[in-house]
Amino acid sequence: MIFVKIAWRSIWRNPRRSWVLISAVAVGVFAFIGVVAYLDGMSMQLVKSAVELQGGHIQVAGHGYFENPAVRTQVRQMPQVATILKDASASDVRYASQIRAAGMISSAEHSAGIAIVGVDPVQEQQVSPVPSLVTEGGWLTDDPAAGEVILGAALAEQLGVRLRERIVLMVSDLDGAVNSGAYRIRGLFTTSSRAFERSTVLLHQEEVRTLVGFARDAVSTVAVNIDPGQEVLAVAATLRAALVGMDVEVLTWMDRSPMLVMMDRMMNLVNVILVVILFSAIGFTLINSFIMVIFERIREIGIMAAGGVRPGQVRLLLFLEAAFIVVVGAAVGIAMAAALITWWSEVGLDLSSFAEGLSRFGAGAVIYPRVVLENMVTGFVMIFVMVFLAVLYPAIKASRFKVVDAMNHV
Amino acid sequence: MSEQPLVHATNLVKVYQDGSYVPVRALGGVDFRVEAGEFTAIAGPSGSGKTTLLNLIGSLDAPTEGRIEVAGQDLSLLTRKGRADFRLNNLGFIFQSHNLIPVLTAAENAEFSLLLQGVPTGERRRRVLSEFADLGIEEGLTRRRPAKLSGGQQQRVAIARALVSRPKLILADEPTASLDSKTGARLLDKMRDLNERTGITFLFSTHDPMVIDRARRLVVLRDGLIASDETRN
Ligand SMILES: Nc1ncnc2c1ncn2[C@@H]1O[C@H](COP(=O)(O)OP(=O)(O)OP(=O)(O)O)[C@@H](O)[C@H]1O
Ligand SMILES: [Mg+2]
Repeated sequence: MIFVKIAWRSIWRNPRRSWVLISAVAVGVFAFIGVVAYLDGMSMQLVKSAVELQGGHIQVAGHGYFENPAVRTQVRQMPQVATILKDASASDVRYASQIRAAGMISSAEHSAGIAIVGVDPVQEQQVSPVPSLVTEGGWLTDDPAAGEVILGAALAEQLGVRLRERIVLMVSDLDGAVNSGAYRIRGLFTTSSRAFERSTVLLHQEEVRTLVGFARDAVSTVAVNIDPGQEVLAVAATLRAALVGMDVEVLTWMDRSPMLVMMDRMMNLVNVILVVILFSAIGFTLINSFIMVIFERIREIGIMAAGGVRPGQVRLLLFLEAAFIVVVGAAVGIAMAAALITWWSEVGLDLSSFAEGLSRFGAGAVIYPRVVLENMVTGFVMIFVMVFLAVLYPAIKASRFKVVDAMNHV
Repeated sequence: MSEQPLVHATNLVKVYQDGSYVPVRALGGVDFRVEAGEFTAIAGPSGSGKTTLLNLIGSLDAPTEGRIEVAGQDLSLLTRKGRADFRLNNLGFIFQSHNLIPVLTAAENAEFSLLLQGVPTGERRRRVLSEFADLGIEEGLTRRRPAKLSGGQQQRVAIARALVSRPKLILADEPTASLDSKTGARLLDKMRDLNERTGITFLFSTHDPMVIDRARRLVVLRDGLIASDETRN
């Protein structure tokens, strides 16, 4: 089409100005992709660690446990549930059971309310990030009578206790009687979630069973993790069907943490805001340049109009010019961003060197970028909308020139 | 009953009134008719309203008062887009200079209106080349951009562009003013020849005696009014 030809050739009439605009768009696109990839990577890592700390991608529990986590609400036939979990799902489903009770921890000087979590030390390692977050001492051994606990470093600090010192746990059992036991601190863990770190004490499941009085086959929850390739909702549906008759509920992390779901969704909004911020500066540059462009070309716009070019076609011409600049700029920006992300995916972005406090994140301090196509597409649509808006005013102005005025202008 | 005139303007008044300037009455109530097939020059001193009249007839500007019909169309009834389409299908313009679109080659400039009209490629090529041959534009110039053409060559390309779509009326505002007299004379003879062969109507505004000599009708404007109007043979 003739206007495509005119638009393309026109942007190369003033190569310096065009390259300035193209570079601006390229830098904007580059920054946009970089930041979104970073945010998406970070949000995925946050979701992942939060989800995994808080009971896995999918949680199996007694009916109503999620609404009201009472010790009496239990998964009563754990061996059968385990068999079903192994049979019903692909072999790569990993699970771990917990007995959970609310209790009290005391040191010589202080005490605090906490959640007591009885875990299977071996299973737990396949599901929970906590074993790998132990920064002092070690993870639990598979000895049901070791008398050892793992607790958060923040909690230890609050209680004024250190590794290998003793604490006392107090809990009411199923009959309402208060039981207690003394334990030695085997390890301290650090996580990005301060709340979790302050309120969680882990020990061997069999010790909690005795303390709280759970039957031999009963547990409170079963955390199930899936591999990245699997679809949470699909696996949950399969498990739900397979576990019918076990008197349990199967909840995904999305059921349990609507906040995290919302956060994930918010990323789209963040993208839009980001584009608006990045591209409003670029937008003003574009408006300026295009106002210059139309005044430089007022004469030839007049010639075209005299020759029968419609006002809409004049606008189209300017939009095409802007579109070419954006397409070229975006191509350059995408190429630069692709190079950055390729390199970055290998090395990760180690935030611990930027912020002292972040070093305590442990594994979470290194952020890997993640390209979520959907989020990128939203951004690009927004970029085009912004550019369209920027060119709208000059384009409308150009299409309204009086031909005579344009012709008097040499 | 006589045939309808190609241009029929009644009581045309144009007052320019921009900004803080004193209003200028460029046309003071002009009645003007042009029949199809004319080869007419509008002469008159500078500022007498020649360009203004041509622009009004060409639908490039609107009169303050009065009414213009071109090819049976009342121009005041057209929208901006309607005027563009009207010009595309009925009119050809030749201005004093800088007539061409700088980023297009000579051939692309010449075929511009045919492109807008959706004439197929082969047909376009053929008509442009024959027009170029007619106007003595050499083969080697067709792919050059205007900046690489002389003033006379540019003006010939502009004439080719105006002619190639065979409009009913060609409006030429001082088309020879930027040319040397030899080139100007050649182009004028060409246009007169085309007028005789094809019947396309030409309306010039000019100071140039060469144009005035060749015109078959001479209208003289003075202070926005027609001072004389003679048809010769
Ligand atoms: N856009 C405009 N704004 C204000 N006044 C104008 C405008 N165009 C023309 N005029 C005035 O209107 C009058 C007629 O101008 P016009 O251009 O029609 O004259 P002309 O006969 O074509 O003159 P020339 O021979 O110099 O080209 C002049 O006084 C001129 O100054
Ligand atoms: Mg004039």
